[in-house]
Amino acid sequence: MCLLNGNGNNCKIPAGMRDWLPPEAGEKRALINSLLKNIALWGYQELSTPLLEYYQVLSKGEATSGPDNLYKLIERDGSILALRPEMTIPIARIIGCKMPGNPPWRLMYGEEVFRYELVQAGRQRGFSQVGVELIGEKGPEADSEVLAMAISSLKCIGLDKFTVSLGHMGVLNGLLDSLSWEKPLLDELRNLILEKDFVGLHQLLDSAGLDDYQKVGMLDLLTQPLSATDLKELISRFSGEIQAALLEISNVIEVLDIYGLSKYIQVDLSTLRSQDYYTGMVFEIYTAGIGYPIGGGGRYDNLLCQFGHDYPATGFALGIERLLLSLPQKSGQMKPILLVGDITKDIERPELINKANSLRTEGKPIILELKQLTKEQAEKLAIEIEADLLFWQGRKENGE
Amino acid sequence: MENKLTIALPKGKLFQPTVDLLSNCGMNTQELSDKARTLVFEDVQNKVQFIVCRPTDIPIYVEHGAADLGIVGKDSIIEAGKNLYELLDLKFGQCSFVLAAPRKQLSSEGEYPWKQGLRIATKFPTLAKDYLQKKGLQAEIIKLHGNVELAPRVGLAELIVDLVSTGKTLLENDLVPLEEIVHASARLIVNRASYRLKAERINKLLFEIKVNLKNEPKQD
Repeated sequence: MCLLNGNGNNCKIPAGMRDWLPPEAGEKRALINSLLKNIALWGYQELSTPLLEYYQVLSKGEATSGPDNLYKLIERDGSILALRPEMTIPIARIIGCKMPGNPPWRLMYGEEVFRYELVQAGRQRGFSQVGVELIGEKGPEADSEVLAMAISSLKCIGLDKFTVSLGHMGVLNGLLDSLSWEKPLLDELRNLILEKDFVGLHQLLDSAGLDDYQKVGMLDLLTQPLSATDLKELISRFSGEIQAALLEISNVIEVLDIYGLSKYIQVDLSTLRSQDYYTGMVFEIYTAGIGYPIGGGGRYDNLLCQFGHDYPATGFALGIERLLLSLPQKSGQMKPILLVGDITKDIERPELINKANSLRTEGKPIILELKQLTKEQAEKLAIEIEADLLFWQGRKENGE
Repeated sequence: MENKLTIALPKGKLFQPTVDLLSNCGMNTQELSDKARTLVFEDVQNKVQFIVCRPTDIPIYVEHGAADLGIVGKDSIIEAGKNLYELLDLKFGQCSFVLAAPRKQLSSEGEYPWKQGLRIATKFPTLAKDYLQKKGLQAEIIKLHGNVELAPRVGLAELIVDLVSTGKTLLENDLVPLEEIVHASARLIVNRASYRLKAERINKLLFEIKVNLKNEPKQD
């Protein structure tokens, strides 16, 4: 038995990390497995990469401004290593140097990732993600495949009340290009939109001397949620990059409509992801009761050329811990059965071990107690270890 | 209630203008009070729940989704540094963050002689740190929980960063504002998930508030 205030420092774990005890650890694994099982039905294959990578490789995916969120350590030869903060970059690295076969690749993973974020209440630094990357395919067909898969995976684990907010990097890029501003100002604008600081956005646009028509047009585009008809109307109002982006969104929704999944989509052009590598459609998934997105993803067509191949790519990742919080019933593990021999019948050990093994082959979880006990002792033990009791008195007495 | 909207309201000087605004938007605010012991109020007809809490805690309630919306001063948002959406400037509760120094420290031209090893007392260490970084200045920040104006008088710090609405406190303590760091006012903030999942209700309220703000004569 361990005392709560037992060993001082020996009991601590680093901030933002957590232990997984039964039954949560089992629930987590069951959730990861059922998500992967569902994604495998779309023809995706699992891959796995090391926890540690070279910092130089991982930093290609980090936002270029500000301090990065990587846990770093030093290799014996002096090079810097880091814990992976997500899986997209490691997968891009593999595609770049050793992936056998030809594109497209359909890949999935269920892995633990680490982000060295500022300690804030409720924000974990180590967490698990289940995700996919569809590499070598472009167009709304690929994007809608990824979205449909994300939505159907959530439905298959029993989540129903959720919303996917869908945006497109082309809208923001088009807007930023239309302003002949200096880079710091553009960065600030991008940040304000990312953080949805609409008050700051207003003030910035005011101070930048945009005329009212431009300003209202821009704010409307970014701050109003859109319906399908709004989207159609918007497409005719814009040209160039913005129009192309809006068209892509509309095409993706069209395909999702055929899947019968478009009701989960909400077009929100202020949807942005904090990673720099996204180029096309981007999305975040929200559910009631969790203040953060439970997943997200998008298209990143320029990342792979940093690893030597110019493949378009799209994907998503789901946050397992946040999903566990939002699922009402969890697929619990089976209660174990305690198998004990009756002390008064003097059961032989081989008989007990054979019995336990045959029950295990039937798929029953068996805890075998080789010490023989009285009925009272056995019942007491079963309660203590929270198991059902199978009190073995020999084949005949047990009705076999 | 499936489609209930929870709004967090700040105790203190922002409370009354907040209640006035919501009541102008057609909500039943008669029961609301920041003096009562009850901290949760229901407007059953409008399917709204109000919770009354400390201004500094409002960003926390909203970030974690315990409240869908909150009304709070920009000062509390900056200091909390939380991940939430700021939808609207409500224009009331105007005040400023200023850097201030004792009058007798100023040169005859009214300039403050910056030197190494200065100490700044403040209730807002995050904001003060960001400001110093932006200006490229170095100073030690001393976090206090109230009555910051006392610090220069007793030699705890040379400068202060504080929130000023009328400037009376500064004046009474013979402190002079050197620079306005940020202008603050009350803001409508929303939880990231609620903004998506309750979009319709939130946008309706947003629209009503905007109409109300336009109709109201400019106040200060």
